[in-house]
Amino acid sequence: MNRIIATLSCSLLFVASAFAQDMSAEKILQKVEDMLDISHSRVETEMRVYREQELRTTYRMDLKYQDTVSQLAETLYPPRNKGDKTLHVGDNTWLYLAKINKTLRVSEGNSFSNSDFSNMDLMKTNLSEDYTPALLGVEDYQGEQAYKLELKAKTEDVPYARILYWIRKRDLYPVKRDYYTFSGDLLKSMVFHTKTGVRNGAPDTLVMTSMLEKDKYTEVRYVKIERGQAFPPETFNKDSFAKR
Amino acid sequence: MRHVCTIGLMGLGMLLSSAHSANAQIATEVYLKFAGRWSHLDETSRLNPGNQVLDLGKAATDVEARVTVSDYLNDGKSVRVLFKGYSFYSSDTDAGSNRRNLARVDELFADWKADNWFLSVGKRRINWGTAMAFNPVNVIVPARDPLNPKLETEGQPIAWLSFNRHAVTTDLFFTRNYDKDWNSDLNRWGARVGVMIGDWDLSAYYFDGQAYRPTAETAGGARDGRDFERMVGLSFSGNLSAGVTLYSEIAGFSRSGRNYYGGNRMGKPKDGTYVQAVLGSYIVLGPESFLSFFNGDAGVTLEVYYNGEGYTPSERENYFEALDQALQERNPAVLGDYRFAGMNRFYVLAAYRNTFKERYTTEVTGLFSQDRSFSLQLQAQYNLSDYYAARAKLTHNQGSTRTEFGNAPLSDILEVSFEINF
Repeated sequence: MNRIIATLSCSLLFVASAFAQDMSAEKILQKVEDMLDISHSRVETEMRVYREQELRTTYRMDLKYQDTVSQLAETLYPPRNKGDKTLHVGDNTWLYLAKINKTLRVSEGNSFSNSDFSNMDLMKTNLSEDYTPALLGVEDYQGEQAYKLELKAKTEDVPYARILYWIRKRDLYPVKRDYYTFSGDLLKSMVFHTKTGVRNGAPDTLVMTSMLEKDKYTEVRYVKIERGQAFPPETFNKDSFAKR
Repeated sequence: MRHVCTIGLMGLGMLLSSAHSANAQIATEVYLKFAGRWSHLDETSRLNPGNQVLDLGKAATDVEARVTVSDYLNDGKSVRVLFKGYSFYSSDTDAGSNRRNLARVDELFADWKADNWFLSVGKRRINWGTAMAFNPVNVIVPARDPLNPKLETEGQPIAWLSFNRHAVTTDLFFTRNYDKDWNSDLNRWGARVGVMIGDWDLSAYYFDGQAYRPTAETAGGARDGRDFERMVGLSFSGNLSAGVTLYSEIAGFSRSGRNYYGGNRMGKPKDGTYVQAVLGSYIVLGPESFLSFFNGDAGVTLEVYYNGEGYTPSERENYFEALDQALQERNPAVLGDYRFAGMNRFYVLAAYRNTFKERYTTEVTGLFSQDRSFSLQLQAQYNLSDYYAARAKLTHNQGSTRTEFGNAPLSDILEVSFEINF
């Protein structure tokens, strides 16, 4: 049975790779987003902020992903931020300060808990909604062939003007993103890793490096994923923050 | 007696949490703050000439403690109970040589939810409105301090019923007043309807009921300064562009119980309605901004506040003259009409915050009033670890003797604190 599954998997990968040869940028991006999609999942993540190889801050979060439109993140650790929530619905983001029971609207560009990740980096899983992709070519990335996409912002209402996106040709797993500001400067760079089997082989660790500060980076790790969750609709309503 | 009860409840909460540790659903949070405060007294302040009225100390040490225990009573998580106790102990004493100590239950409630319905009963903090610092529509709990909007304040006895459907939320509230001895005689109620239209949050508010009446203790106004009969309010917030959030609140009140002073130095309430409104913006300054020092995450908050209940320049001048006379006659009741951010009609608040190198936060907040006086606050915080933080805060009040902040009894306050969260 295992051999059959392995053979089928290899065949699927081969077919996917064969099709990828002729895929458009839109199609490649769509396939990657479909593969990374964690809709209807509850995800426990750990975020670690490093500076000069030293761990400075750790955050643990409980993320509820309804779909590409609605996501809710609740801080579990550290204690001073415990219970704070970030809700993302469409183009709107709200922050809930649990200690004073206050809801504030914030911007997608806000840094997520003072890390190298913005709210958008963490909460918004589909870039195709805000960016138009173009295939720049195929490059060697750490000994493997990778598509190089250029994503250009459709409007100026997003934190980044341009994103360069490398996607491994073999299995269409994302490997790297470079984020550029509207003034054309490289702001930060994210590398994808697979360190555990929590996402069934898909990248489960994201490392964001700031270009502005030397030796500073933030690592986000998926600790646990519970798929097939049915969240009540009020979970993603900003007026429900105080109700749990 | 009330202090003993509160401390007992806090202890019970800690005991419950330790006895209940096997249950994964119970959550306990403890916050401790040890602070030292040094002040420069303004003995020319017309509120406290020669420090004869308030008898303020120049230095004090404080200890603050908060304990929060919450638990779900069933696996379905439809019922939750939460207790939050607060204690404050200070070496400082008031004019009667009593220590400025405090122990209270900030929140103690049970709530239930099912599908679209939600019900909460108990003492609870409800924050209405979208603004960061000034919140005209936030009338249920005591007003927040615009210079320190994240300070946790006391809740209010309340019953809250909420229904949510199709992105429209309807909240109904019933609350009662109470004094320091838990005496309560006034029923108040309110409603809020919140809706999303496009990418804008809109809310309408209504609050009504029996008005607070001034007592000897609350001369010149209610305990929390809001002795109105009825309030109708609106709020909105939305993103103008990436990194720029715009928000506003406007509230109309049926009547003010505050005294206004004429040329005869006599105070009397005004008839008629008044309006309070705020327009504000929160702007994210990215790490690449020249205003973001050390490539930190910086942000600016700007708010313009109109307080229709505030004094006109002549009313303010008359008030201070009436106060001078009353204090000479050893009658401090007129002091009750002095209200922070309430002696003028217009205020501007500007705050700049920068968090850098993960552990450092600096914040500058300026509150400027129409009478050209201002209060400036500088803060610096260093997070030693995920549990410990050190903070220094300097507040400076400046203005002439005819102005609001120029008459602040303390012209400079330095607070250094060490905070523990676990």
